[in-house]
Amino acid sequence: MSDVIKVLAVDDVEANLMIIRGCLKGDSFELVTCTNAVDALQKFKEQYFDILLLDVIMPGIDGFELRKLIRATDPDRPIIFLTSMVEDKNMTMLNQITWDANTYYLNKAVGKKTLIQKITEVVTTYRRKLMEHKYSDQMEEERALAGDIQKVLLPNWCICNDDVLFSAIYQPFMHVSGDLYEMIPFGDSKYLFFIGDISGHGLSAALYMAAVQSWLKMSLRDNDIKIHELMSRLNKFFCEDLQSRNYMTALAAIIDFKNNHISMHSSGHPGLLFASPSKKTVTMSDTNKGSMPVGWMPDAEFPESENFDCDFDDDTIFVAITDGVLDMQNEDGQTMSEEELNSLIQVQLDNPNVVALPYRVKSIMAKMGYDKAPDDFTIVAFQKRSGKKDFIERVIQAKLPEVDKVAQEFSAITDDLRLATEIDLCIREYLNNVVIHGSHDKKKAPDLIYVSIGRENGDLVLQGAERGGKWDITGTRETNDPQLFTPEGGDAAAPKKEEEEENLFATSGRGIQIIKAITQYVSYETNCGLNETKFVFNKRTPAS
Amino acid sequence: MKSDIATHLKELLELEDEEIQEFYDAFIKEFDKSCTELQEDGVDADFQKLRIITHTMFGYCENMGAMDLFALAKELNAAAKAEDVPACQASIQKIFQMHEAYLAEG
Repeated sequence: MSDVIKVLAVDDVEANLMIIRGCLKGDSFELVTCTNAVDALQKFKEQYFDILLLDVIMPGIDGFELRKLIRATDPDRPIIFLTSMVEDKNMTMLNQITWDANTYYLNKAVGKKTLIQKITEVVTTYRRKLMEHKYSDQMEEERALAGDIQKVLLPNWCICNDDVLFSAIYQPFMHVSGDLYEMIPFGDSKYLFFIGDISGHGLSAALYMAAVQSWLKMSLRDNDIKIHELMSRLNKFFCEDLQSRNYMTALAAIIDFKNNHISMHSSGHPGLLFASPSKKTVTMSDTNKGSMPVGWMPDAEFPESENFDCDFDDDTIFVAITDGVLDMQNEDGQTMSEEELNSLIQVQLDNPNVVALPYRVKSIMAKMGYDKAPDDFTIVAFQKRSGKKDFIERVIQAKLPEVDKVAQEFSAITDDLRLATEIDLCIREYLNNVVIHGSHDKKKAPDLIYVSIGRENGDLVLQGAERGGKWDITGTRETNDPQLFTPEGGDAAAPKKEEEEENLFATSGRGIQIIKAITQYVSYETNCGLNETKFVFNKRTPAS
Repeated sequence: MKSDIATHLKELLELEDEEIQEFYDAFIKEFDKSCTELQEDGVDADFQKLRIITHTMFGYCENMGAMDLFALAKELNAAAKAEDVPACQASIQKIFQMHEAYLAEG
């Protein structure tokens, strides 16, 4: 933006424009004049002007009408009405001029000095506001970018490896977040689990988060490290290297999935929840144990006696949260108690699903009215991998070659050729829909897809979870409520081999008909952006 | 009259003497136009049109410093507002006479 002020002056009286030209001659102003509103509008569309000087009474479109037309596209551009107020005893005209916050008034014979002073003052304010908006928009863009980069530092929202199935919901309060979590393997089925919450919000908290995240990854070279030692070293790093003005609550655990043992240390962080699907209980780690938050004091002690050690069952689901979960507010500003949260998690044990649990909990909280977030929000759930027979689960990239691999692997779960074909068809149809649907719109594209197949109460069940756009299993509806359909003509003959091949990459319309024929029902629900789809295959009479 | 306009313009725009005539000519052009309009609308006593004409006159008279004409325009505006036909006609006559006087000054 140059220092020269560009002015558009509109007056039907040429003598008045001459006066304005006389007032604004020199290097500081670039003046364009028009004698009617139509020409002025055209000029306004073609060129940039810092300010407009308008006459009120003009033949055709008057000054007020012209302002209305300009305001339709530009609510902020400064306008000065230059008019004579001889007739305006009731101040009708003055009121009409000043209802708009960016319109000013000057008497026609105001004098060169006053006119220049007013124009300069108004344009300076306008330019400053423009700069502030631009800066604020740029900051917002940069925060969003920083948020995206931060997400890359975190583990994938869903992890399924040899030892653990892990899922997380992570929602920054202001694009970027001071929350962090990690699940780092360091050999022999041992993992470091870490969840932390840096005090404050915004960029400084996010930078601390990134520093801690990197430090954690680099610090796990020592396989025999004890959890309190790790916290003590982290405190030193936080106080000395980061010269912290912030602090962090954290919960760190070394989990041995081979021996079902966990050793953890909390530094002022909410306790770890142990949810047992077989016992239907939810208990919390000993909250009397632990140390002060990391970063409070350089010489703080993190003694071994404050570690919490225990064994766990194969089916234990661990749930960890950051403060933001319990800070969620309803309309009256009330927050949820720990007991309420525990009972929400307990409800999940009727139909346990580690991948969906964080999303389901957040969704129920929102339905209960706790939907106002004053802080970053993170829930993490994980469980030792099931050693169940005839059960396969995978987390795959949402790419078509991955679909092929999973379809082959999952259909091998049965020796029944017809059932294997049906599984193959169903999984291809499902995954193709999710992947292709997402590929049309990058914003709707899922990053990862969790899929599993196994037996539930004698039924063969295929389940999927992903964070892409909603896809309509019925081809007709899109809803947050679970969708169910029962097959029409469920006893229809299975497609022939040629038809099967033709339908492998069928459109959803045809594919859905096949799925209807081979399944008892399909359910679909979305919780906080996680789409869960469940296919229950038709029962089959074993061949005699 | 012309000298008043020159004084006003010198003060307002810091103009040199040789620049004044151009502005004076522009003023006379507008004044001619107003007189033509007054000739047409004054006869029909279209009060609304008279008010619009006088509003235009306020603008260029104030700008140019023709305060004698400004006063007459104000008088005509008040007569039009009161819908007083004889007063309107009297004011218009005075404006025409002033027009003659300005033209005589060149």
